[in-house]
Amino acid sequence: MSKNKTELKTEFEPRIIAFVCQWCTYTGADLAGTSRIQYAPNVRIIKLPCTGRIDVHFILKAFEQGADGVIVSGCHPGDCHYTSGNYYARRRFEMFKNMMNFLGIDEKRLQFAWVSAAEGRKWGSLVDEVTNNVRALGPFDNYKSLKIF
Amino acid sequence: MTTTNINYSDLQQEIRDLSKDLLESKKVNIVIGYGAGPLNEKPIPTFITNAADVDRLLYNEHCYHNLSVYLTKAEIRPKAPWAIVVKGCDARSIVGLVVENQIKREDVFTIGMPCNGVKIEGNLPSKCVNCTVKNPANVSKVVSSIKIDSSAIIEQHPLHQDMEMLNKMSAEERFQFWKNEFDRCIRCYACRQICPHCFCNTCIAEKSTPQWISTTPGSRGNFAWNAIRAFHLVGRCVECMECSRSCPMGIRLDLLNHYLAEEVKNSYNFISGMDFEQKPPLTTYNLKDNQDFIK
Ligand code: SF4
Ligand code: SF4
Repeated sequence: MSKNKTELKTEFEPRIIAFVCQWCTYTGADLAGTSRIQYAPNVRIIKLPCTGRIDVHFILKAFEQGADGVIVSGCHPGDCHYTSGNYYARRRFEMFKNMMNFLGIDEKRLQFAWVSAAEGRKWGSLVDEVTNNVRALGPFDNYKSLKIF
Repeated sequence: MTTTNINYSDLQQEIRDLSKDLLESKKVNIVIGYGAGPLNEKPIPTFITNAADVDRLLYNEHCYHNLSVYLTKAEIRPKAPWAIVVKGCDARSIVGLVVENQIKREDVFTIGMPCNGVKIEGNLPSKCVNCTVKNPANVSKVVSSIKIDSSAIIEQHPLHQDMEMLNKMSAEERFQFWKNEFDRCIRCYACRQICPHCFCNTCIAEKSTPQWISTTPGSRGNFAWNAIRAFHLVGRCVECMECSRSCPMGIRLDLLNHYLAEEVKNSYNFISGMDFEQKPPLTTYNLKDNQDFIK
């Protein structure tokens, strides 16, 4: 029985966590769904008010909990529901991404994007692309090797 | 007079005279400076509240501490107005604290020391390598009339070699390097306690509902702690490197701080603690900020 189970497990399926803002990207992902756009089912979406609300702790936590890749996405510049949340986020994420790179984390595991409520198609291809990139990199063994004890 | 040599006993005398004036005239309630420690030539932070005690103040090339950390501590804060002995680099911390509304500019009298580099265990520490404030800026008074020749550039320093080594590594090697460093962390939080800019009453490391950073000194929590500590200081850290000096495990926090300070300089043309009017870069934005990395 358990033998069969292991045989069924074939290929590595990346686990992608997406932190998105509720006004643009979440609605864009909704549009992708209602438009029946096919894209990788590997993504788990977490909705937040704004990219400005997306704390870098969330990203580290996602990696700690087993994410192989993380997407952060929100409104295009000029479109933020709160006027400027995404501008602050843009700076924060630039620095965070560079820092993670300096700490030895492959940049492809962390993708930032602007996806508007009308860009269901862009959302689909973004998820596909990140999933494929992460699939090529394999499981995030480095971060998973960081044990609690 | 432009010089690279400093007569420390002159500077020391001037600190004492000035401190005496300030205390006697009640312009300040306390002078935060350097005084004799258990190892005679290495001064330790010293607090003088009585004008008769000013002779306890010392000054020499071993005065490497950044004393500005004390200003926000519960024991010292109520004693404002304070006078504080600062090197150019320490004065940058004071600017940072004022800009972030932690202290009032009029509460602090900064006694600025000309400085041509301090000595830690006989060596020039990494914080002095790229120093641009050998003649302190933004201080209430600069002690003595000597001007340090700040044109000399230090090209050979372990900091350069270490940064180059890290830049040459692959991502995988860098990960292993930092894992090795952070794995040694015992979560004593000395790096946080000594940092003038880590002034939160409740640190994210101690928040428990939810807990963002595992408090167990294991790889996972250590990585998160060290990443977050450094990240919370982006654009605020003045590279005083007190954190790496105080780390009992010798973790190379200085390399991470230096990397981030360079990033801030390159991306936002910002150097922390140089200007009372400029906001830290992550608390503001520019419509034209780089977004090449965003899809
Ligand atoms: S070098 Fe360390 S102690 Fe100094 S400001 Fe930066 S983080 Fe704080
Ligand atoms: S001072 Fe060093 S050992 Fe202590 S918490 Fe900071 S990094 Fe860890």
